[in-house]
Parts: sequence; C-alpha cells; structure tokens
Amino acid sequence: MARAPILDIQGLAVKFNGRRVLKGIHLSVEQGEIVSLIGPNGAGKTTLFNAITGLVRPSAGSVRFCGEDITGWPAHRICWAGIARTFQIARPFPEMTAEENVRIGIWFGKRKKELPRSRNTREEARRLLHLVGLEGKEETPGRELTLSEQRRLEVARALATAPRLLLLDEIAAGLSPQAVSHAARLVRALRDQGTTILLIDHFLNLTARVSDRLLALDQGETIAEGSPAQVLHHPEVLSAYLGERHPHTGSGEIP
Amino acid sequence: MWFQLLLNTLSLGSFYALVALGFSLIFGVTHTFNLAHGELIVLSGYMAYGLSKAWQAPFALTLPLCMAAMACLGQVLLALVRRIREPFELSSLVFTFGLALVIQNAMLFLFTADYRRIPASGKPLRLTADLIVTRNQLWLIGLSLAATALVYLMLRKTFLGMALRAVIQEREAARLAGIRVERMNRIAFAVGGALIGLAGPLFGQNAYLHPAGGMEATLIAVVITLFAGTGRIRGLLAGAWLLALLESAAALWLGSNWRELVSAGILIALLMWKPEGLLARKKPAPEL
Amino acid sequence: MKKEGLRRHLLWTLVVLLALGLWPLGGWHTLLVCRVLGFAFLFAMVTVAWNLVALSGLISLGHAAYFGLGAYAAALLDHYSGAQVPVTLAVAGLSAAAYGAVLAVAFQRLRAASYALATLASVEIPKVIADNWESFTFGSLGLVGTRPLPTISVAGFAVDLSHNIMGQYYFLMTFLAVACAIHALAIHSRWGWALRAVREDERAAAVLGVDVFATRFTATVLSAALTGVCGGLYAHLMGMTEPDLVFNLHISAMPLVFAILGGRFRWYGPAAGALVLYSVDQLVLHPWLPAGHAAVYGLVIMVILLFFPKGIGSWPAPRS
Repeated sequence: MARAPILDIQGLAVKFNGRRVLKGIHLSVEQGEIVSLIGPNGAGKTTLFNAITGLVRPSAGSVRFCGEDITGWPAHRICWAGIARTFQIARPFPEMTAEENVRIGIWFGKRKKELPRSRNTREEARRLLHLVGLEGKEETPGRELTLSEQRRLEVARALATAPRLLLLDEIAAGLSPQAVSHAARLVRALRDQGTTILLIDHFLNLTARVSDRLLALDQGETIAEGSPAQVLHHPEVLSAYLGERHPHTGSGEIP
Repeated sequence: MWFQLLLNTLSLGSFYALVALGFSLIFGVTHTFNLAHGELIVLSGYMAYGLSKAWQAPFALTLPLCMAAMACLGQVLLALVRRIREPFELSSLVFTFGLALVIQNAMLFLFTADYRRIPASGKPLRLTADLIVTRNQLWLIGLSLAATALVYLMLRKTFLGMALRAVIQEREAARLAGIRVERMNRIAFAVGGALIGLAGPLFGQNAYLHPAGGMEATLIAVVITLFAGTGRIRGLLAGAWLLALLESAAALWLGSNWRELVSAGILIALLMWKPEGLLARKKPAPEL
Repeated sequence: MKKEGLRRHLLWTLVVLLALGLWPLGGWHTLLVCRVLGFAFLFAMVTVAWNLVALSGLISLGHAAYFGLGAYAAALLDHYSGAQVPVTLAVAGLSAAAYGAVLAVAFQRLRAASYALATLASVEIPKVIADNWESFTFGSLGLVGTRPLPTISVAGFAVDLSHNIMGQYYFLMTFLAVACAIHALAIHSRWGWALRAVREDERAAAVLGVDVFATRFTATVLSAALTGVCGGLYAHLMGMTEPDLVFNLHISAMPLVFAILGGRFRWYGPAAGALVLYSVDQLVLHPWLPAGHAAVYGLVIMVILLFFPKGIGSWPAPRS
C-alpha cells in the first residue's frame, strides 16, 4: 500500500520488575481504521496502551505515529502529537466539574502556541459532553458521577484534545445493551469524522459491531490477527478465552 | 587504634539496630510512619536522667521503668493514630511530625536546652594495651544485641511472632486468616515502645541528651528500615552496622560532626533509588 | 465564579487591604503590634510559598531548607562582600531556587509520604554544612551583625527600614502582596489549572497534555525562591543567623498549619491563615508561654489530622 500507517508498532516489549509483560508486539493501524484488541485478563492489552501513550517506558521496540518515532516520549508530548486515551478504571479529576474536566483537555491537549486564540472553550466542552450523552451533568463534580458517566466523561475529555488516534480502554464493559449500542454508534461516528480508533474489548461487546480488524493477545504475545470472523474462530483465541473459567460475563458472544 | 575504631563502630551499630528495631516493628505491623520515634527515645533518655538525678536510681533500675512507661505511651499513641484517615502513611507521618514538635518543645520547657548526660556506670575496662571498652559500651552492646536477638526469636519461633510476620507481609490476608490485627497493632506498639524505652537511657549514657537531638535518631531508624525492609531482623542488623561503619568513616576522614550528613544523604539516595520502595501502597492488581 | 460572589469577594479583599494598610496611620497602634504584624507578613509569604508546592499535590516538610539557605546566603554575602540589600535578597532567592531546582529534579518520582520524608531529610544537608564549615559559616554560633535593612526614599521621604517600624511594616507588606499575586496566578491561570489537574490525578493530567514535571518544577522553584527571599529578609531583620534558628523544624511546620487552617485553595487562604494565627500566637500565646511555645504548632497539626473531617486535605477546593 502506498499510504503509511498512522500507527506503526514494531517489536514492542515491556518489562515489570524483570517480568516480561509484553513480548514484542507488532501492529500497524491505517488512517480511519477501527482496530480491537482482545484477549484474556493479563494478556497485556492495557500495558500496550500504556506503552503507546508514554505511561510506561518500553524496554525494546518502537512506536511510530504519523511517521514520527515517539518511542519513550513523555505522555504529554504524545498527547500533543495527537494520541488520546481513556482509562479502564476511569480517572476523572474528582473535584472538577464535568465541564472543567473536559476543558482541561481543550486547554492542554495541544501545545500552547497551537491553540486557537479566541474560542469558546465552554461551548466546546458542552458540545463534547452532549456528544457522549452527559448533557445536564456539566456542573457535577467528577467524583459524583456514576461509573458509566465517568467513562463517558473520559471519552469526552479525550476528544477534547482533538486526537487523530483515540485509544478506548473497555468503554463498553458492564454497560446495558442500549448503552453498548450508543457507544457503538459513537465509535462509528468518530471514525466517520476521520479519527482512527484502537479499542480494548475484553468482553467482546463492541468488537463484532464496529471493528474492521482484530488483534488477539495472550500473555504478552500476539496470537491472532485479522478480520473479526477469522480471529474469533482462531483455535488459539478460543483456547485462550476458554482457558479462563468464565470468559464472558458481559453480553459478549463467542461464536 | 583500628581495633578501637572497630569496637566503637560495633557498639554504635548495635545501638542503631536497637533504634531501628522499634521503628521497623511499628511501621511494619501498623503502617504508622512514626517521625516522633527519635523524640520518644530522647524523652525516655530524659526520664532515666531525671530518675537518676532525683532519686539516685541505679541505671539498671531505670531501664525497666522507662521501658514500661514507653510501652504505655505507645498504647496512647496507637489510640490516637487509629483515628487518622487515608492516605494513612502520609497522614501518620505528618501527624507524628506534629507530635515530634510537641515532644521537642515540651522537653525544652522541662529540661531546658542544656546538654545532659547520664553518669557513667563505673571505670572503663582495658582489654589490651590500646583497646579500651567503657562500661557504658558494654551495656550498650549487650542490651542492644540481646533485645535484637529476643525480637528475632519472638518473630521466628513463637506463634505470636508468626502472626506478627503475617500481618507485616499481608495485612488483609492475615485478617482473613483469623489473625486479630487490632491486637497485633497493640502488641507492636507495646514491644516497639519498650524498645524505645530501652534505647533512651542507653542513648543518654553514651551521648548527650538535647531536646532537638531526636530527629537524627529518627532519620537513622528510617534509613535502616528503608534499607532492610520491614520484618527482616538480620537485614536490619547488617544495615545498622553498615551505617555505623559509614558514619565512622565519615567522622574519621571529614571530622566528627560531618557524620550527621551520612544518614540524611543515604536516606535521600535510598528514596531516589527505590521511589516506590517501602512507602508505596500495595498496588491494586496491575492493569494489564 | 458567579458575578455576585465575585463582587462580594472583591469588596472583602478591599476592606481587609484598607484595614491592614491604614490602621498604622491612625496613630493609636503600638510598635509591638506593628513589629509582630511585620513578621506575620514575612511568615505569610513563607506559607504562600509552601502552598505553591502543596497545590501541585505534594506536602513538603522541608521548607526550612530554603528559608535557612536564603538566610545564610544573605548573611554571608553581607558579611564577606558588604553587598547592598537588594543584591543580598536576590542572591538569597536564587540560591534557594537553585536548591529547589535540584530537589525538584532529584525527587521527581517521589510522592506523598516518600516526598515528605525526602524533604525532611533535605533540611539536614544545608544545616549540617552550616553547622560545621566553621571557617566559612562560623559553625553553630552563626553569623552576627548582619546589617539591618537600609534607608530607602519613597516619594522624596527617607524611610529608615531598620528603625522605622511602620516603614518596615509596609515594606514587608509589599513583599507579601507580590507573593499573593503569584499565588493567585497559581490558582486562576492556565498554570493554575495545570497544577490542579496534576494534584487531582497526575496520570490523567499527563495523557491530556499537561506537562506534569514542568508544572511541578515551576511550582517548586518559585516556592523555594520566595522562601529564600524570606530567609534573607529574616537575616537582615534579626541581624543574626544560626543553624538551629533558621533550619528549625518549626519553620517547616508553620506554613503547614497556617495554610491548612487558612484554606489551601483560595488565593488569600494561606496568607490570611498566617496573618491571623501568627499574630495570635505572638501576641497572646508567646507572653504566656515563652519557652517551647512552638509546641502549639505541633499540637495544631495533630488536631487537624485527628479531628478535621478531611484531615490533611481539609477545606478542599470551592466549586468554581
């Protein structure tokens, strides 16, 4: 293909106290794709996110974003470059209102000189909150939101940094079927606006509905990659999931 | 001369082990970061000084009195510390920082800023031509090592010791296994307090008591505990001797007062080297 | 902030400023009160400086290090070179800022209890050096005879800052005003939002583009510089600098008490806390309990942690 991938990960490895949690992951994501990471607990999905966003330092390998080598950059510079994320366990700023939470993303998501001079951050924050279905919660402090609201707030906050690549960590876990549909619509809408999306979906809630491609991890290694149908029927993926006692407590289905 | 230095280092190191022992036990079991540790030792020293001055109490008698008094004070401290909220380590640290200030100023008020020393207990002994050991040092080495050994045996060989070690290693699991953690807290503060009570008079006999002298002892206890980890008595002893050796070396080459830099310097170095070392909360399951 | 609230807020600020500014002119003040309030301004400045670090989510137990360094820098410079007071104060601020910068880099991975402990130990290093470098710092006896504040001319009037207590009062008040302006910036500017984000959730702040290290570094260095200037002022005001006096635990404890009781999240909180509590302490408590009255600070810290509903985080951020 002529076009360079927006995200290109080569041989990425991470160690914790000498234990290898990621053992050389390769992944490349095209502009406008939706790619899902699946795999059992402890597979290294969130660690991969942490390594991409600069929260943990890789011990080997490289991450290239839009052709630029961002390996080992501090987290804020990676954000400025255009990668935003949510956390599996939501981390809203507890004492700030929902609107202020989002405004932090607007104010700091880009270098100061790249920020447009005069814009109505309040308006923008409210628009983003509306987008994720948090209208009416603008003045509620982060710690008083419900878990699912906190998760949606994180999506709004991540979008506030105007990312080109959005990493979503388990945004649909434990949601009601209607809420999952809403999340799926949101993800597709974001992609249609040109945002590339990488999502972690342990419970396979969203995967089948939205993703173009799947990457299955187990114990820090890639065990399968390809279209959703291919990966979900891959014998190693099945055994990795069935190896766990109860793989899918959510509404996920394994074909 | 080298033997003399080594002997002095040995006695200093053994005393440091005793100083760190109480701190480490209390911190390990209850997670209370007691910054007033050194102040309590100095307070106990002043108590022994007062007893020997006012009633000519023999040194051997002041020891059990001070130990009992400090064990009781330990229970009071525990009762206060139990009210402290999260984040517990930081809050207990700041709380005992306040306590240290209170004790320091109370001692300043009661005993003034003059340097005091508990009188020596008898003539020094000449072992060889140029190797002298004072009776104070004999007390110091003997009692420090005996106390350390006793705590070691208690932790290793008794049922109570096993329970204490279980609490040190995994508090919640110990609670689930039916260990009464509250009781272990009281025991840790009692034993830790008694060790403080023992260290005080020994300190007052071998060095000068001064109301502001406690912070140095606290830093020493913290350094050794950070170095050895909690509940590891042998590591504690090794760390204590090592620290004493480094201090002696610094005193020999730089001058006696510069040794005070050693513990502060090592503390900062240890914290920088293991920023998440002892003080870090047990992490929730890593996000994988 | 709502319009109404803002107006009331400004009104109150104005009233307090006018009261503080005008009452000495009434002529019915005593020199003692003026002198004590002058020192209250000084320690309010230390409190404000301490709070800059606290706003980034770290509790420092070692501000005596910056204070003492500033005092020694000013006193030594005065002793050896006889430099003018503005120069000695600038050097006091710079040397403390340099130490602050070193610590900010060295302690960048430390948080909560580890950080508090490290800062506590960081006081020992300059203290032991000041205590032992006899040939340079005069050891534990310290430096005496540091020149008092000079005479300056304000709008044609010569004001002798060393003897004119009222002049001193306004002089120190000016310094506090500058510190308060920086503090207000640390709450209400873009940098202030960065500090708040870092304080509330560091990792979340980092992935949203907040440069966590730079934010903390700026806060620490500014805080150290302000504290160092206070130390320098103190050396000139007292005329003597001793290790036990300027590297005292009590200097690290004071800002903690003042800031938490005054309110850590309003621009005027730390300063107000310091002005009220220091004055009460000096005017009421000190005559009554001259020796060891610093115990009161320790006691207040203990009470805050035991009985205040939020302990060390007492009086959290107002909803804006």
